[in-house]
Amino acid sequence: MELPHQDGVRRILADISLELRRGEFLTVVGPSGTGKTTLLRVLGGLTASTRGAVHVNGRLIDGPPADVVIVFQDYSHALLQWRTVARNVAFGLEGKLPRNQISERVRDALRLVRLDGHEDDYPWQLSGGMQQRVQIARALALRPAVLLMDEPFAALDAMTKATLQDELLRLRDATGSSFVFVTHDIEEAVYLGDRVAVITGAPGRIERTVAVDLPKPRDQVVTRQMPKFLELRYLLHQAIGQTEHA
Amino acid sequence: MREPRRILGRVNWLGLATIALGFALWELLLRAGFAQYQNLPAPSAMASGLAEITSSGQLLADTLHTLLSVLVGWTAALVLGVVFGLLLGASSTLRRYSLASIEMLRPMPGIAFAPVALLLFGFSLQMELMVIILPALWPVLINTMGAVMGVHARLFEVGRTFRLSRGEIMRKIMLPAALPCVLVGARLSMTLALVLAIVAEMVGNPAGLGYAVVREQQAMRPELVFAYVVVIGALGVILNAVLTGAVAMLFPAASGRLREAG
Amino acid sequence: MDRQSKKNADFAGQLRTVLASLPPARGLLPLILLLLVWQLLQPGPSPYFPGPSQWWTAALTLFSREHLVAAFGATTWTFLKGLALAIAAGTVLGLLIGVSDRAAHALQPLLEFMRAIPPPVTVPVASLLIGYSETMKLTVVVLSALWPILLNATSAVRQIDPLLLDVARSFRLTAWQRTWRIVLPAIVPSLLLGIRIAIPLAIVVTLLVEMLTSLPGIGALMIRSQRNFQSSEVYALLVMVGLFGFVVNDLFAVIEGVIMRRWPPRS
Repeated sequence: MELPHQDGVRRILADISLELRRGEFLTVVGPSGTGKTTLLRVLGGLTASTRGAVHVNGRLIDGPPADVVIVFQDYSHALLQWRTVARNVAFGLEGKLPRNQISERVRDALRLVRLDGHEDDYPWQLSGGMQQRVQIARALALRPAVLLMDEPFAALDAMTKATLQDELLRLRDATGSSFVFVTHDIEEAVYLGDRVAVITGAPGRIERTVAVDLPKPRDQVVTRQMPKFLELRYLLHQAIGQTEHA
Repeated sequence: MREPRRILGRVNWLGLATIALGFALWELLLRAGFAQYQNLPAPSAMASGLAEITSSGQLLADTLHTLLSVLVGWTAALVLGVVFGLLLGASSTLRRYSLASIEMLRPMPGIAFAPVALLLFGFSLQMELMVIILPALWPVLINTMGAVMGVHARLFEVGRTFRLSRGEIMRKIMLPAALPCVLVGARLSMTLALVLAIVAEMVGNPAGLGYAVVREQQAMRPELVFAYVVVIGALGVILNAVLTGAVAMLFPAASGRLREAG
Repeated sequence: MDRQSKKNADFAGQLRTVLASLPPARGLLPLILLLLVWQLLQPGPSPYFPGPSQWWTAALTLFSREHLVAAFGATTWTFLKGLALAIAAGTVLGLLIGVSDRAAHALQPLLEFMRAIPPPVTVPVASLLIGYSETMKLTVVVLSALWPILLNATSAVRQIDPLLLDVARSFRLTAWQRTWRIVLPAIVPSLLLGIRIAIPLAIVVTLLVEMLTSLPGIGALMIRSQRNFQSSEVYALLVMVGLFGFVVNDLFAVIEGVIMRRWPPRS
């Protein structure tokens, strides 16, 4: 997927040019208000850019593309609270696949996010972390090429966040989908990403892109202590302009 | 099945005892001749009066009439209220050109329609329905409109990101999301419909429980008046309970969310 | 308070706020169209659907015969008196009941039962017990308006933040001072909500009594006009009652705004 673009009367984004490779985990990091969410929405086809274009697998998109799914931050509003977990996960597939295939995919998706056994629960009966997993399962059930995630763990407590981060990496390995993960948490960006893109300024521009060559599988304790991790962290802080040392 | 002991513990014994005490006092005072409010019946007289109208079938006839009136009126109010509520909720243009009219019509007390209804329909069921339907549709309309307007924008985005058609978005997202609020409106409307039916029967159509109260009052049968009052109160409680139960059965998800929301 | 909220604090400011929050005037179009079409289709008198112009002339007739003003006065006066008494009684009783846990617990089923009885039903009962008189009329209005206010007052008292009561104790306030300075102000928002519910109840019952007993008032006028088949008068009175209800509700919103200016804005 790639795009160069600008946006709107009040320029929210300018001169964005990104390329996402298959199976890659790209994190997008930057302070609030720089248009990270807008970028995600443009990639997801929810918002149209005024200039520039988004291509998925070489095809120009017009509206939400078929093999791209967005996972939103506010899970409680993004899930259909009146449907069971299973029916929520099946949401994107209804009418598009025969019923037995749908239930198979739902089962697989729930197993992937480790929520099997909760098929008949309602979202409002589950914790925040579990609800977010349901949303991820809903996205995965489509077997999308790309998952776009808009600060999905920002509303969760630190421990749940850590658990879900590792789950996400596991999911990436298991499914081979590409991820674009927006966050304002620099450490999360480094921990999860194969590449990190930094967006700053108004209008938001890609300040720089950094490759994360930390060993895999990542570990919450070990990886975060590595000198390379700290180096990258410092680099990104600098790029965002949050340190005093030039 | 909860242990009987726990259920026993939750009953408001003090409250029940107070009511029982009140009744006993009432009965005692009247018998002893201390209180002799001319037309105040003793609870025992009320009870026997109740038995009388039950066995004569009068109570059943009156209750059925009022029930019919309430159910027909409520259903009409529900249908009209939901339809207009959906339309108004979906279109801000429609709202701009009608909300002020609604705000002017809403405070009109249902009882003020009774004389007009009498003029137009005389003593009849239609007279009652005219008094019931307009005021009873406001809670449904307002709640439905609010429900549609209150569907979170995120839900629509989810619909778009999964590439649902507009019809699917309406059917699968908007209607279910709006349902709890609509049900609340329906419940309010039901309570209102009962009161309106009673009023219509008191002032107009000589049939049903409302008329029964006035009839027995004019016949100077205070024990029957009180008996009918109790029946009316009980009917209100029963209707409410039935509606809540029906909602819980038909829409388990919605009532769960309602309960969750407190 | 900053300058803006000071501006809103007084009566005129609140009036402006309420007027500003009314829906756009072009929303009156459906009503106006309805009246216009009605007038065009049926301009003259008719037993069932007299035109709006007929309503106007009927209103003038009612007014010139002086019945209208007196009737309006009687209805309004009863309504206001009844409401005032209900507020006073509801607040005092609510306080007394709310303060004592046992009393609240004991009386709760009884009070809930009283609330479940539709107010109109109390009219024949009161006629039985008290007869046809202004006293009966007032009693019924008070009783109907009482329950929402009383129940709200009771629950509000029981929900007062215990911290506030601790403050009272640490400042060694007497019971009277505590009630006046802490408890009463604390329950005002809840009371106002109860009053808002009680107002339409009071209006309905006032009209109902007048209709059933022909005690002087708008309700009596309406029934009399209906029995005389004066359809235009009935419609004219209906419009007037509607306007009355509308004005009372908005007036109360203004008063509520003035009183509540000291409270943090409701979410």
